[in-house]
Amino acid sequence: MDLLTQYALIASRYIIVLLSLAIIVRCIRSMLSGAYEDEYWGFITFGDEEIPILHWENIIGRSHTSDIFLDARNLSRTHAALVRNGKGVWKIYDIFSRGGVWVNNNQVKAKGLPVQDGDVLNLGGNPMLFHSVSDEERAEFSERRTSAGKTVLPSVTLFELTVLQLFLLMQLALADDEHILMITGGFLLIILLEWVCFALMKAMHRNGFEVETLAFYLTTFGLAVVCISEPADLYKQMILITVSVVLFILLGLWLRNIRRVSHAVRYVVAALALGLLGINVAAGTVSYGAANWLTIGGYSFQPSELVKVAYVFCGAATLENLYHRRNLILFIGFSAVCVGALAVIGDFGTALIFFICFLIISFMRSGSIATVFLAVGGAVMAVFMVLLVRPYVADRFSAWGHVWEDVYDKGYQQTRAMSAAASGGLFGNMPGNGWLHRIFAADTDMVFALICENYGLIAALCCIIAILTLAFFAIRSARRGRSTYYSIAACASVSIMMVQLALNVFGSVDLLPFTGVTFPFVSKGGTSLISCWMLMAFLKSADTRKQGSFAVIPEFKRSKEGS
Amino acid sequence: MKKIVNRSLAVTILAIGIIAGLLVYITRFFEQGENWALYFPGTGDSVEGSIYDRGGNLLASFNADEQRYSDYASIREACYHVTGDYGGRVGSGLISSFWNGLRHYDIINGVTISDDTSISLTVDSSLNIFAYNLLAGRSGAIMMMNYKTGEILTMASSPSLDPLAEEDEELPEGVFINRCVNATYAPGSVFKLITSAAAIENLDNLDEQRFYCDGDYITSGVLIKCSGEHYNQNFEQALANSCNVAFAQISIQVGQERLIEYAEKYGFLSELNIDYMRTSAGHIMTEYAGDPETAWIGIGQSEDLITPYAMMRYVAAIANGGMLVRPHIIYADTVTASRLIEESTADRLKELMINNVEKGYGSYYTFPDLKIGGKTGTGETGYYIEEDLDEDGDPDSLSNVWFTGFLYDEEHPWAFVAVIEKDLGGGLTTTGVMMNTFLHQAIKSMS
Repeated sequence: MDLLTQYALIASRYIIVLLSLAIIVRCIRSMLSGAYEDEYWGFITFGDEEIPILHWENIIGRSHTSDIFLDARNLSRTHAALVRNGKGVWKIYDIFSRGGVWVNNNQVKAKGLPVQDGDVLNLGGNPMLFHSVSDEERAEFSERRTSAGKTVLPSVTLFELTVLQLFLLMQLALADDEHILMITGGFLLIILLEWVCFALMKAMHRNGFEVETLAFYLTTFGLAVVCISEPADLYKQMILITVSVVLFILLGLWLRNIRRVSHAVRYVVAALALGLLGINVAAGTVSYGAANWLTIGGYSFQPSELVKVAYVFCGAATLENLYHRRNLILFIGFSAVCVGALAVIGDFGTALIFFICFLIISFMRSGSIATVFLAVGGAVMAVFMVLLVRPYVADRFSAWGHVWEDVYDKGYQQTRAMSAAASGGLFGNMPGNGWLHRIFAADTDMVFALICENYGLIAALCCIIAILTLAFFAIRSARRGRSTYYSIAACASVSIMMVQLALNVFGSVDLLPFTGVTFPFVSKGGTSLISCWMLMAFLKSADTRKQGSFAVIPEFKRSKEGS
Repeated sequence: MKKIVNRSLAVTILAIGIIAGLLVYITRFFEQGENWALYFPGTGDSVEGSIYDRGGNLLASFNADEQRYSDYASIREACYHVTGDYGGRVGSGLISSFWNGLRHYDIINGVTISDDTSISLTVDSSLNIFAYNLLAGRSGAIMMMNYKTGEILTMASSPSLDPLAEEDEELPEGVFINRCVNATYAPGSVFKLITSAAAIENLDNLDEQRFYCDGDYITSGVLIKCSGEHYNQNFEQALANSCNVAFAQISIQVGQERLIEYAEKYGFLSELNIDYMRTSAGHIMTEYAGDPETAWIGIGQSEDLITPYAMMRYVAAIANGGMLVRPHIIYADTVTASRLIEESTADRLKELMINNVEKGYGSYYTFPDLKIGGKTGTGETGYYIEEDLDEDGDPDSLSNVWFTGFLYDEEHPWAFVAVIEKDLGGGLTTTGVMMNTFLHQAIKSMS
């Protein structure tokens, strides 16, 4: 190795960490502190008050949590729902109000009535004027909003990521002569994919690329993990990354139109998901204690990972559906079947993820009428969990908290993970010098430690912060989502990822029991990567910044975009 | 919408939970990272090393692919406590400590590995085999060093095992303890060498004093029993007689504080690492002791506990005019020496120890042809054999028997120590006789 390469190698240790920090900081600045103004979809004039309509789905009522808050007599706390559908048609629904709802003197029934610009609404004897904002007006409003990517240029962040990838490639290639071609191919592919994605966004006049950047950042480390632990599987990983990105874009485009997540579609998806789980239960391959694999034509995959996406897809709901009891009951039923099937399969980790995701979606969905059902559903699933925990998971719980007392048996993996993680220090030992990859499940269950060992604690923390950033962005976007569907789906998606993250990282360092779930994007294991990317599509669909997300249709028609 | 969105609080709680968990982990990482990183001796893949004995015999070698021991079972067993094993079961074993010595930890760089990968020991494995065989299955230790060069020549501990042999379900008690450096024993009379040093340096009229021993000495109403009746003696005779009555008085005159000070100064209360090898600290009662307890401290009973190694190290300095050449087990080109004992004190102690052998232990019969100084010790263990009764009808007590000393022989400048646990005999009859055999063999094989 010549002197220059040696210096580059030494420098690369620190450069990788610095670039990681730079990328994360840029994304945080852009996603969490950049301007993020509301969209305006209409106005309600009540007396001399003019109240803006900021979402596609709005509750009108006397409660302070109403989107359109009116302090009027004879108004219920949540009186009516004012909803705009994908075609731009507004409808009003009476949600069990005491005073009733009228549109131009026609009483609104359960099915709702359409409202048009200039209509007079009467809520419990309070007349008000509805004004829907036209495309022209909206274009005007839009002028005042800040475009995504205005303060922090996405191209620069992506460029930093590319440089980071090249340094990772250099380290890995120098450490493994034998697989140098595959490693190089993998990294060039991911660089190509991210720039193609970026070009597509640009072509669609979109500038919000932080979610993708972070997902690519994490996927990059996932690729590095495969290079370190199982370079022979690189070609599979390359296929998987490509498929993931393509499915991400397709799902994002699909979600653009709120009609495509209507009842009918969700029933179909739910049926498919249950079918998939059914096949899994019937014909799953047992692997390391859980029969959560299906092998088709030599390729094995985990159906439960795809069901995760379907679960979010079916679990989230638009506002008008949230007030239908039947809808929630179906959701609880669907959840129970999913968790039950996972229990039968013996996939404890995923069952736990579903269960927590169920709690979060239910919590976000349920109004007061659903509390009872929620409790029942929760209890039923808790019973499932207990049944599941007893036989083989109890063993793992027994070592929890004192793994160092049993380093050769029950604490074997955790203590190795902690030892390897610590041996990387803050900057890592660089690929080729580690040993953890020889230990079973190092590239999945203990991947946090593997990253620590090779790239150091800071880089590993950057991976975690990347996911937390996505989570906080989801929370921020949820507030400005057009439909509760997008907001709930985005929150559910990041929740799934955070639960996985917590179980994976804290399980491997003995802060939680060792359950063996994957670190989103980073753990090796194909189907998990696909599902993580697809979950990101839900996050994209909630991002309503101006020219922000490809998964959101513009606020006004393209022909008016002029400037 | 707003109502639903407000419930995204649940997601925030999840995120905060993760941040809290991370903070806990990071704190632990900073506090315990070093322990974690260096915990497993066999995990540093790029660590390569080999350990050879004095004669160039391979004791152990390891790299990413294999972990080897000596090819000879006798060497493996006799040197087991020197090398330890790859499982790290012998705490002070050189394999793990050397391996860990090759691995350095700091929080920024994590574990780094040095290139220095081969060490030669000063220990002679054939002498170790001989010493180990002399211990003959009894629990105990034999250790010897060259006090001119600081080289540790022998380090044998029993019981031992062959790391490659299949192991019985029930291993002998304390088989993983290197009794030379990690076992602490009640020193009994060998402690009188420390008391003597304190007395020489602090009692002006020491040599004018006479100590009358009729077998008993009573101080503050407490009886201190002697092993015999030594009648009228001076200090020199008292040490040769190892007289408890005399040393009770001397100890009280010196005082508890000085005894602690001297034990501390001579290294008996500290961990004295030998290169990579970690040794254990001894103990002495530091809470206030009255006269009788002070007497027992100076006699080497009370709570006194010392390692055989600390005793040999002290004796090595006595034999070398008070200068301690740094004891080492890994061969080194240059070794520093430092003063452990005042020269005059050391010389006096040396004379006294030679006198012990000549006047007390019968040098011609017990140690033929050896220029030797020494001190015996019998540390009471509190164990008895119920069935065996002595003349007075008391059950025979089991003691840890000691013999420590040096050769004042230009060609064989050696200091040594031997301990056998729970023995019925005395320091001289058991360990003294054994060391005579050992030293003769050592002289034969080292010349």
